[in-house]
Amino acid sequence: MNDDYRPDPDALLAKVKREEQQKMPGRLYIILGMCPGVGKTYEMLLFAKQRQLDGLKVLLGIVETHGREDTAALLAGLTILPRQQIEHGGHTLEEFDLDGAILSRPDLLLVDELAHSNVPGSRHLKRYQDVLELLDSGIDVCTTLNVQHIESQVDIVRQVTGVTVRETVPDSVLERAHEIQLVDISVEKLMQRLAEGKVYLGERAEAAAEGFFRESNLTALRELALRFTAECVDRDLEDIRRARRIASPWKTNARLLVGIGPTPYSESLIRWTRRASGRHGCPWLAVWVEGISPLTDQEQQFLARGLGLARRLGGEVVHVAGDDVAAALLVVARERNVSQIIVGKPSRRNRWRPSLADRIIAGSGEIDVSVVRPVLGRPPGQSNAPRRRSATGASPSLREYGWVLGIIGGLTTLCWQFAFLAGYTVPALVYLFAILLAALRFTRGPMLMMAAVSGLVWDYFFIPPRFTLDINAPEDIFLLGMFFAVALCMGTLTTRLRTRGVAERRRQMETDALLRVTQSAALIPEINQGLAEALKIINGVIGADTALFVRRLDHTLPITTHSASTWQPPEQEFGVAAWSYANKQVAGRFTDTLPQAIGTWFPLQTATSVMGVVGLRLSMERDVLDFSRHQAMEAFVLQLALVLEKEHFMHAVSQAEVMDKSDRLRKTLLDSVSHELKTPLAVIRASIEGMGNATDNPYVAEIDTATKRLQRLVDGLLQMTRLESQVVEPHLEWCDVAELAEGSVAAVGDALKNHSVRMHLSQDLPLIKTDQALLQQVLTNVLHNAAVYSPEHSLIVLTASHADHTLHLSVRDHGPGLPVGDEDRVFGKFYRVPGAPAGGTGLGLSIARGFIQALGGEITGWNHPQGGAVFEILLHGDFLIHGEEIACVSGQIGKSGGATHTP
Amino acid sequence: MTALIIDDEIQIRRLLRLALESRGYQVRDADNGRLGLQEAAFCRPDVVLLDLGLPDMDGLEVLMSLREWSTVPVLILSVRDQEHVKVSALENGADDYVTKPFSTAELLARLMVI
Repeated sequence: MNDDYRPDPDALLAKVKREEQQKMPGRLYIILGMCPGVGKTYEMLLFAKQRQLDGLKVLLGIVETHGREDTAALLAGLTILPRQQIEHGGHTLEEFDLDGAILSRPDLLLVDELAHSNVPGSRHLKRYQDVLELLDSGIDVCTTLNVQHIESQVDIVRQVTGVTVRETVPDSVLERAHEIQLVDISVEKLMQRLAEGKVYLGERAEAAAEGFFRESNLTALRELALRFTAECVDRDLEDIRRARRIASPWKTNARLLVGIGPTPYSESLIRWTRRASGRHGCPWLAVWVEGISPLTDQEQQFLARGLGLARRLGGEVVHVAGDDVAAALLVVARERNVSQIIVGKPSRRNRWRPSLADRIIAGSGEIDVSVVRPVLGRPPGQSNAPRRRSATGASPSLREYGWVLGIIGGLTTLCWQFAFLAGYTVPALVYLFAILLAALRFTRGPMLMMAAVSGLVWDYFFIPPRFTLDINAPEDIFLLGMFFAVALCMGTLTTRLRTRGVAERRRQMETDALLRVTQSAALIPEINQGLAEALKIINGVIGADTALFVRRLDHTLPITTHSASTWQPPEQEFGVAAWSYANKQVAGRFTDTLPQAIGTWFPLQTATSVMGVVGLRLSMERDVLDFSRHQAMEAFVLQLALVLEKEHFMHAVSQAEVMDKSDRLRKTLLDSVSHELKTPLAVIRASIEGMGNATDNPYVAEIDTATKRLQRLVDGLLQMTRLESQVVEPHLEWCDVAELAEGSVAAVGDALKNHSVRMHLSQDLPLIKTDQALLQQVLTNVLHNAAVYSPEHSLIVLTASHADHTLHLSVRDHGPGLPVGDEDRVFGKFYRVPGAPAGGTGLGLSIARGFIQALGGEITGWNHPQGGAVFEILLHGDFLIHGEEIACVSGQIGKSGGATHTP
Repeated sequence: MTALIIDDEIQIRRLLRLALESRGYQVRDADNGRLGLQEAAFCRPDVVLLDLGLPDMDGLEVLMSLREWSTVPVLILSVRDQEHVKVSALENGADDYVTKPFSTAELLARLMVI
């Protein structure tokens, strides 16, 4: 076989994953259009009508008809979900009712306008998050979307139309679509509809019409929509090809890498990469190289937005630290077998300093490099996060400038005193030394000023002629120049060294904290104390209070926090915690889900399960959970989750060990005891027989009775052992129910001697395919039980009938009945009704239940309203009805025998 | 008529000897498989009563070794009452199978048949 034509396992896996995603949760149908007014809602309603005719339960979650009559006419006959009212800032706003939709569990739910932003106070910021939750809860959703709202198309839309789209839907949502249907009409027709006023444009209709609905724009948008749909179709086609091993023309091992930084350009690079990866059908990485200098607020925001976007678009975010960005990117690229690196094109060329793109190209070797012209993204500041004053903000700097001036003044005075001793060059060296020392403490700005001011001061006060800035001797000009150069270099280098040290220390501290968290949580033998210790460390590093919820054994969240928590969240936070736990996503403040919450909630997720949630409330109200702390928190959370999981497993293992030990002991006992008992029993019974006619001698008769009872007990024990070691394998064959019932009564033998047994066997009892021996044992045990627990000479009624492929056998006695409220306990092993007469083993009914379950049936017991206990046996299986065509019966046996399944 | 009893339980052997001798059988016995096989070769019994749970070897092995050179009727006498055990014993050449505890009358009747 040619290797090149082998289906790529990654691709197959991704396909399977995609299909699984589509299969298990609900399916997503997207009606895509190029702009408002093409008839998406109309198309969606037609789709819904069709589904309703197919017999599905269709519910209108939210549909905007915008007053179009033909669309509104389609609403007739469809159920509409009432909107929920949300109080916000004194106003009552209407919004789609997510919980209502989940509760009513329709087969198909219509949700118009996927890109809609929810009103404040809703659970999610965006409607597409509502839709994802609906899909996850297994509901099919049909929705509408315009192409300009697709996240990866935003740049192109802006380039083409000049309009910045704010409401976007990540491409990863579109990838979940089971079906994308394009509604396409020609631009002329749309313009005509616009002129007729059939297109809803919102309140500023005219402005919108002039700015957006130009023919050129519409043509471009139409092309975008067509091309996007074509790409989706292409991807589906590729899936089919790969699955069928049809050779595909593209590289199967492609992987893209985009380097992102704290700049406004990153977003457009990420979108470009997303589009390219969509075309290639390959994975992509977004890599951030953390440098040495701390980020400003604005940079922090750019970075957070870039990384968030990369995550939303389905990229893998990698975070590495390094001084040299190009080298770090190349290292990641080689480690991860990246085939292509995407970098931004530098805005202007610097002759002396090679750009990032140049350096990456120089070192790229066999890796392709795409240099992309980035488009400026949205300006920052739209984020609703409160702004934080950074450590390098204005007020500490001002103090530093003061210090710098003070130091220069002091040194100048000092040097002035000794100028007559040392000449004018010595002060220069003194200044340089001061700059070197100061650079260890101060930031860049004050350092630059210090270099400049000290140069000027030196010139003015010391270089002859004094008290002027003039310089006479040419070598002094050279000296001053050198002074400036050395001072600047020294200042910059030392500052850089220091910031690197600070960054290094911070990273060291985080690693150290992580280590301490792991150690304290894992090594302190008492788990609660360990968790408390770990949370204390986390609080210190993040600057927050934490609340911990550890899941209970039944996988639900408790209503109280773990004792290690340092924060008791108010009641409304529980909803956020529960959501985070159920959806395995970070939720709450600083996230897109329930951002009004006080805390940020992280699920304690491991590879296999979610162990609980941790809530984080920053100690300072105005503080922002920035990227590095978010990252650190995720690492902490993972450690906590692993520790909790380990604890859980250890608990489970020790329990299983105990169970296993006791189980083995019991089995050995039962097994050997029952076998060893059998031989002496055999001897006794044979000896009694050898003594001749036993009834002559009352002693012998007693021995005989006792032996039989012992025999039953041993048999019961053996059967129980066999049931529990799960070696009971039914051998199915056709058997006659009437014969079986009579056989059972006979098998009970002497115990029924003093009872009257009445059998009601319906006339048309069929043959049933089952294990005769097992079923007979079940019936025998139940009859024996009835005989032992009901008074002598009372009536025992055995009925047998069948209906709907189920055989009903019931045994009713006229004894005291079962203990009220505890009816099912009589099937427990060694359970004996309190105050019951001697003679039972406490095993009979338990064995009966075990056997009937092995046959795929069930047995229940209850008290008859007119007294006495009733046991009912239900057995499903294949039947052969006695009919007129007796001749065919044997043929049928063969046929149905071959086609039946073992229960 | 000579009957050979191969069983490790002395009580069972004594009991069977009593029952069989009262019906006119000559009885030989052995308490393990190896001795049993020797005895079978030595005294050429007319019928063999064989237990499956023997101390030195499994009754089935005894049966198979015996069947290599003899067609003597063999009746298996065992506490094992599972169907598959009975089936495999019969498949390997046993003539009948009686589970313990057994009734003497039934055993004798079966012996008469084989």
